[in-house]
Amino acid sequence: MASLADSFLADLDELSDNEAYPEEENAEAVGMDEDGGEDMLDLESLNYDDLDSVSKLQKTQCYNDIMQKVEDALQKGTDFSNQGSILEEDPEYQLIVDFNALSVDIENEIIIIHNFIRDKYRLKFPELESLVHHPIDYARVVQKIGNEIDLTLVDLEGLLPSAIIMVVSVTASTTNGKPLSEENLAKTIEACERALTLDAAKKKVLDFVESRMGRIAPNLSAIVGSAVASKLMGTAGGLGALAKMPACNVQLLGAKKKNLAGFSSATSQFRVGYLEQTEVFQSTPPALRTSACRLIAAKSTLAARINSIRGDPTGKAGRNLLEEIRKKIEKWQEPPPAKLPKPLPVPDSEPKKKRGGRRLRKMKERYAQTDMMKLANRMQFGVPEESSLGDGLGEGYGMLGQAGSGKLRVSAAQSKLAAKVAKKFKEKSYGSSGATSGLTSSLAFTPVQGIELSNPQSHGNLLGSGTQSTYFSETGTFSKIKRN
Amino acid sequence: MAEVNPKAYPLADSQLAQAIQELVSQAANYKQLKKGANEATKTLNRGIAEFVVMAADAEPLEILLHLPLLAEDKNVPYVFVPSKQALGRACGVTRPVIACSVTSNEASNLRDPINNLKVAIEKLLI
Repeated sequence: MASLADSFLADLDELSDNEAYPEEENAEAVGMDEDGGEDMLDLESLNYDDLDSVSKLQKTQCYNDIMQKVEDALQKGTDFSNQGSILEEDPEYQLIVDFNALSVDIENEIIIIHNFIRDKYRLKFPELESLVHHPIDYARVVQKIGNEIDLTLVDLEGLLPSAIIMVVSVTASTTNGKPLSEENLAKTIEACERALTLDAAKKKVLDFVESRMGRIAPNLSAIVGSAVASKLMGTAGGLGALAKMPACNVQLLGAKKKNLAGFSSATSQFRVGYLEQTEVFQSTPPALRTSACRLIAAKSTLAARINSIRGDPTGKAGRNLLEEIRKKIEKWQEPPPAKLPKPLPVPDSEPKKKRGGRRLRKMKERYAQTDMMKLANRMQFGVPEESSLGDGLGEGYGMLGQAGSGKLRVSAAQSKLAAKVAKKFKEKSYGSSGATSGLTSSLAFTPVQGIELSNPQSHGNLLGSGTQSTYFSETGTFSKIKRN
Repeated sequence: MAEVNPKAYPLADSQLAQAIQELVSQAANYKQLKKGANEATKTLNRGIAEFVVMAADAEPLEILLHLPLLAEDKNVPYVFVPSKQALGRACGVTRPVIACSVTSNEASNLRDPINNLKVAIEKLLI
C-alpha cells in the first residue's frame, strides 16, 4: 500500500514530462491561468466568447490524477499478486470508484462544449444541429466542414450514415449561413478538438474499468456486462453500496440522466436506466421489456451481493442467474397451450325410477286439479262460452255456469279422500244424524271415552223423548179425556 | 440436513427458532412483518426494524449477508434460523422466505414479546 502511494507521488512529479497531453503543454505555453474551481451555478453568466471560461475540467487536479493513475494501471497490466481479502482496500477499486464519479463530470463537460460549439457554428450552418444530434458526431462534422462553402468537396464518409450525409449536403447548398471569421473559426475548431480529447480519455478509462470489472464483480459482469456493471457501481457509490440497495432501486439507477450512449433521443422512449443497455434486455421483445427489466434488476442485485463479500470469484453463480433469466424470458414468449376439443360429458345412464303405490296416489290426489278448473278447461259443443270481460275477452269460463243456475259455484262431488275424512268424522259424532237440528253441536263425547263436560244431546233427547212419550209415541195409545 | 454454513452466525437452536417463528407468525397477523430480503433492506435503511430473521440454508448464502452489515450499522439484532421453508410457513407465504424483518409499532400488543425476543437474540452474541 505505501509503495503504491509512493509510486503515485513519484508519477505526479513527472507531470511536466508527460507526453500524453500535448494540449496541456500548449495551454501552459499560452500562459492561461487556472480559474478556481468549477462553478455550475454561474453557467448563465458565462462569457461564451472564451472557451476556457466554460470548459475547466481538463485543468482540475482530480482529473489529471485519475488519468495518470489509469495510464500507470494500463501499462502495468493485470496484477493479482496484491489481491486482498477486503475489496475496499484494493487501490484499483478506489480508482474505479473515483473514475465513475469523474465520468459524470466528463459527460457534463462534453455537453457544455457541445453547447459552445453549437452557439459558435450556428452563424455558419444553423440547420446542422437539428440534423446531427450526438455531440461527438457534431464536433467531428464541424471539424471536417470548417469554413467550406461547397459541401461536395468535403468528404463526410465514415462520420455519418449515408442518408444523413445526403441530407446535410442538400441542406448546405440552400443554407443562409455566412462563413465564420478566422478568430471564431479557430475557437470553434479548438473546442471540437477538446471535446474529442475528452471523449477519447473517457473511452480509455472505460476500457480500463471494463477490463478490471471481471475481477472485481465477476458475477455482476456475467449478467449485465462489464460496461453496465461499472456504471451501476459508479452510480451506487461502490460495490458495497450497490449490494445494500433493494432491487427496485437498482432498476432505476441512471434513469434520470440524459442517455447519450449511442441511443437516439428521438426514438428511445422507454428509459429505465443502465439496465436498458444490457444484452439480455435488448434481445427481449418490446412487449416484455418491463418484466424483463424487473427480472434483470432482481438477479443483478443478487449477483452484486455475492460479489460484495468475495463469494464465488469465478462468476459461476452469475452465469447460473443469467441462464435463469434467459429461460424465464423464453418461457414468457411461448404461446399458451392449444385448447383441446372438449368431449361431451358422460350421459346419465341410470333410468329414472317410477314410483307408484299408496303414498304416491295420495300425493297426486292432494295436488290434483280441482273440479272448477276442469269445468273451466272444457267447452261444450255448439254453445258459446262466457268470459270475464264479455264477447270472448278476458278469462274464458268454459262449462262453468252452464248448468242453468247462472252461478259459477260448483257443487263438487265427494272425493274418496273427503269421504274418508267425513266418515272418520262421523264416527266421532255418536248419536247424531244428518237431520240434526241447528241448535245441536255436532261434536259429542261418547260414554266410551268417558269425558263429558257438557252434552247438548241430552237436551235433545229430553225434548225428543218428551214428544214421543206423550203424543207421537209409538207405544202410546189413544188417551181418554174424562168428562167431569 | 447438510452442514450449516459457518457464515450463518448467530444461529438459533431449535427452541429459540421455534419461539422466533411463532413471533414472526404473530407479527404477520398484526401487519408488523416485512417479508423478503429487499423489503428487509428497506426497513433497515428507514430505521423501523426491530430485528431481522434470516434463513441459514439459503443457496447461495451470500445473497443475504449484506443484511448483517446493515443491521450492525443500524444497531438492530439479527439471527439465523435453520430452515427457509419453515420461515416461509411462519410468514404465511407458500414460497420459501430467506429473510424477513419485524417492524416497530409503539401501540402494538406485540411490544413486550418483541422486546423479550430481542434480549434472547442478543444473548446469542455473548
